[in-house]
Amino acid sequence: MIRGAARGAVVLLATAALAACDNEIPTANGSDLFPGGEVPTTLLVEVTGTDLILREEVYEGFGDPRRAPFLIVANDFDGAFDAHTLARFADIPDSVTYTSGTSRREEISAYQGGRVLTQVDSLATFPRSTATLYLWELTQPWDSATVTWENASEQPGQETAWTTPGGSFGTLLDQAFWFPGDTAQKDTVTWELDSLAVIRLRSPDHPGVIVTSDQPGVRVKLSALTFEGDAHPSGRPDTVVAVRTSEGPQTFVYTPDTPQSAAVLRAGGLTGDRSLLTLDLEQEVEACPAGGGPCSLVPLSEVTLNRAQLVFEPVQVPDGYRPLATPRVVLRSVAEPELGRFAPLGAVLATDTISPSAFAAGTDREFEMDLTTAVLQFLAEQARAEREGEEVETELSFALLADFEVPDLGLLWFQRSPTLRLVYTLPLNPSLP
Amino acid sequence: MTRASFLSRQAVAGALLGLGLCVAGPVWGQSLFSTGGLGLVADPQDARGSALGGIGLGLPGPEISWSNPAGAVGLPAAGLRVSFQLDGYDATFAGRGSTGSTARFPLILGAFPFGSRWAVTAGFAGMLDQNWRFEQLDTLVVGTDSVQVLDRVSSEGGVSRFRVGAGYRPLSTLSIGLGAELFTGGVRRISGRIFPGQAAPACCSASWAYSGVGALGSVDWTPSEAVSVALAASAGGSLDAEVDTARSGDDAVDASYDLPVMVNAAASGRIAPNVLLTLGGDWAGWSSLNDALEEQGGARDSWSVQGGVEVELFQILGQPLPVRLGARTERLPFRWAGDANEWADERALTGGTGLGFSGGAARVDLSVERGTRGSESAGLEESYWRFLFSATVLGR
Repeated sequence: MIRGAARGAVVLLATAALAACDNEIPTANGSDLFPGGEVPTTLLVEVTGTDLILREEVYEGFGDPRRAPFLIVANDFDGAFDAHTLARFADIPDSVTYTSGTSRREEISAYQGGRVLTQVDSLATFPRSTATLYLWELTQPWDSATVTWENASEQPGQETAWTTPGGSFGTLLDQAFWFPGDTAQKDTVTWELDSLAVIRLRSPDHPGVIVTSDQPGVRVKLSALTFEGDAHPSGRPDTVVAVRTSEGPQTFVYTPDTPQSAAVLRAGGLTGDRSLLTLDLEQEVEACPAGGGPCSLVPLSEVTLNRAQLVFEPVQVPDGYRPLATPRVVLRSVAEPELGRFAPLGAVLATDTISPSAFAAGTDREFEMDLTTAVLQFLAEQARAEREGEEVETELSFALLADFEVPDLGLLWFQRSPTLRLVYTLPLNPSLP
Repeated sequence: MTRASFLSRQAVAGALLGLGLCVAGPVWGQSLFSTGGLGLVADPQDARGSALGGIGLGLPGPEISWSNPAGAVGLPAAGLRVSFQLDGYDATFAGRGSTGSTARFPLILGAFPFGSRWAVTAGFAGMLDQNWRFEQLDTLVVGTDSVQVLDRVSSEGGVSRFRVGAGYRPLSTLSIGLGAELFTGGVRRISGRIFPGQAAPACCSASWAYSGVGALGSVDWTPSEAVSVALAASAGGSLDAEVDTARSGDDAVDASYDLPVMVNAAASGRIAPNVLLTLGGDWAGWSSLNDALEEQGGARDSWSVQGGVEVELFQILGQPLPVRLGARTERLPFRWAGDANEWADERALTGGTGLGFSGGAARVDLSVERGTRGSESAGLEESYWRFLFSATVLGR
């Protein structure tokens, strides 16, 4: 009986012990109760110009328009930008494999006809309303590695201008419409080809096709063009087998060239612009207690940094080059900024999306990137280096890049000399009575 | 008693000790009065004494008492007493309110008799509760954003003490006790501002570890079978607070406080076979800290008067089920929020019961306390409920 009673007591107190896990600290609201009347003081300081920026350089050429993962068709977009898509189907099949009891591979005796298909990326197309797209036959050969809006070829010693800038085209093969939101087409555009057109396209010397639009103000982003033919196998001339190919050079030519300005920080675009900055983080900030008393300048490491923001001012980009898809601004650390354009990129320090409208006409807003974690880590590393007698780094270098979830040719431009906005709280000294 | 049952009792006692030690160290927050002076003075109570108004010694027969090591002389076997307390308070001050609750083990105490004339006690209990927090919500404008911040000043920790004592019975009606105690514990104070995304202020904090030693003595006198009287006194030199430099800023400094002399006295008398009356009083010389705590409003001597009655009205399974009622009035030593406020007092009504097993070899006691502290002139008014559970196990 004593054992049972004792065990009962143990169970009771064990249960109570579990309940003891959750205790509340007596809490009262009101800064008038703070010991000594000391209330934390938070201050804001903005640093820019030569007090902050040690290096600001812009580089282009990290992207090649000819390697862009998309195609563009534009007509007087923003009153300034034109683009045509060029394609040459280099390997339209001359044999086909089909199953008739067994798998058979036979020569194609003839094409009944065919079509060219592509997908419209509605997120990077303007406007998002019905667009008319024309498929023409090119009449002039072109060099896929050097073709531009003005020249079919810019190979050294073999420069050849288009007879018509933007591509010399002849026969209209078909016109097609893109209907945004069409549940049947689902952003697919199809141009139909008759058998004679297919015969011509199959010719090894055929220059290929060109896609244009005559709608003013339009800019359409396309995926790769695909040729689909309706082939008759030689052994079964009454049978039609679909064959597909996207083999062959595909690109787009455009005008004007990607603008470059030395007056701004640049990122993105078809030339893959990026900017390189170095900030001086050996900053002193004011310490002025809210309750009065003398102000002093103290190192940034001696206050509690609550927030560090790098404030950019977006600049309207030249007509035709504003982003349509939502870009993401990325800051990546750079350990060897002295290497300039060859400096390898490190970890991401900050990233945030920015509205495409920030680069359109009438833009007048700040764009803030949160560097709090990066600066706190930097200051912690400074403190560690100081403690261990190592060389203390005072500069933070990073690259400003653009990233698009939906690839876009848009440019991101910002005013030079961004501002570093620091929010910090002066330290208090807890004490006993 | 068989070896198996002895080992079982040892296991039970060990389990109780382990459970209690798990949470007994820190003195968890019980009241906003913990912000005053050195904190809220905690009473190491068991449920029987609590139900009788808060009496801590002077009950008839051998007892496991925190204040009175002499009271353990004559125990039939070694024993362990563990108390568990649930508190809930409701406070108002300057048009604002606050509520809170806590659960803690205020007392763990063991007693070990050696023959009929000697006994040793050892235990662990809280002394000063220094858990409190002040907060203020505010909005800052940062650039184009409005940012909500929370200012916080907080204290977490307190002072506990480990006490050992020895009792000796030179006469059949008189026992004397002596003891020593170690003060321990620590406190962490934080002052800062919490920004969105933070759980606590990024700065600034300081921690201290408490230490100190004290001594105590007690006398337990049973002039007759119906009357018991006890008197105890303790004195500590100083309570030292040493900065934990690894967890504190450069500006944190050590501190030292004179510990007061504390005196407890109580008597109980059986006026009928099933009726026991108790009366007790405590005094502590906290005014010795008045100068040291001037900025916090100073300190004054505290005292307390307790009284109660225990009536064995019922029986369960052949064991008496007493009904206990009590009352207490107490003068608190520290002010709330500085000398602009008056001193605060505490009053309580108590009640409880208990049940023994196997002739007193084990006992469970429960008490309920309803009290108030402070007043409008004191700047803070609190009402509270307190529930105390105690288990006592003797190893026989």
